[in-house]
Amino acid sequence: MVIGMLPHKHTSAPLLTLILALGIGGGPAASQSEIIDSNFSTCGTVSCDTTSIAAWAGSDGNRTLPWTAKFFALAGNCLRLNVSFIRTAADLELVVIAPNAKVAFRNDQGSTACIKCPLVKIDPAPATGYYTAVISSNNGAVVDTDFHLLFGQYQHANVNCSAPTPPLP
Amino acid sequence: MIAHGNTCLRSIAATLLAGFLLLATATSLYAQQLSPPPQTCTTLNCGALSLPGRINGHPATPAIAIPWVTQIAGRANGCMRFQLTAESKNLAMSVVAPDGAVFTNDNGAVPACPSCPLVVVGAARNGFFTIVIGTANGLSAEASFTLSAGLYNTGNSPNCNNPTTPR
Repeated sequence: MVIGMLPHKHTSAPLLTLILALGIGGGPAASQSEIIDSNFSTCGTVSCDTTSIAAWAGSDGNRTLPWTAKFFALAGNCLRLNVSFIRTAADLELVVIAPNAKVAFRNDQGSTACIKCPLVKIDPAPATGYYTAVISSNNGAVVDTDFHLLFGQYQHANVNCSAPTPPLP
Repeated sequence: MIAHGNTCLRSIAATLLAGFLLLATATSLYAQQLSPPPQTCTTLNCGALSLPGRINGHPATPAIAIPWVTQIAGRANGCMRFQLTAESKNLAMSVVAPDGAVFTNDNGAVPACPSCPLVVVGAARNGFFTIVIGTANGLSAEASFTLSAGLYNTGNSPNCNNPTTPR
């Protein structure tokens, strides 16, 4: 939603507040958030038809508090999770646990969006369900930074899942 | 003027509602992180949090598996033990450390429930560990379980014997 397109300026304040509320809802503690891709796509360019999520990897005092959320994918499809922007110099890492909780994927610096941005490409997705993403600093140190995560689901072998991330042994 | 007044009232009401949602969201979210008290006791799962949980399966076609997720605080110079003490179906567990290290187990072979997963993080660190519990085969299912989550001194016996190797 583009706030500038709202018909009355009176409506922008509550909507902005609501957006902020939802933004915080997607913050470090959103471990029960279940997110689906309304833009399932067969498009053929990198990062096409993604959903962009602005989120926060934070801390609780001296304790690192990773950001987590669950992303839906159909078995056999391609699921792409790409950190595309990090506000600070923090080096973030991304771990994804499949619905079959024994299957895990991990990446530190696979994205071309920025040098410290992780990228996980799961293809084919091993199960239909929610994939748990965990984003934190790559060394476990406390970070306080906002970042952007691009989430997309595509058909098997889409260019967005070329050279897919291998599951952890 | 009346129309403008109604618009303003609606705007104020919407602002209050949004603010309420903001507070409600923040309040509920922070309840999702748990901090077990550190223990030095020496019986299995002594002093641990006991959490009854449930994984869900959405009855769509195809059915959708929905893992159970929470975050539990660890600390440096400690060890953490996560054990399912009961499960109604064959479940597996992965624990993601704050530095991204992944610990996974399917069958912990504890006599009371041999097929229940068990993860022991021998060297914990300051930060929250993300616990993911799902079916071992990835298929959608409704299943209940009890998670025992404990924070102990490093090398605690028996709770930190045989630590799980990170992947």
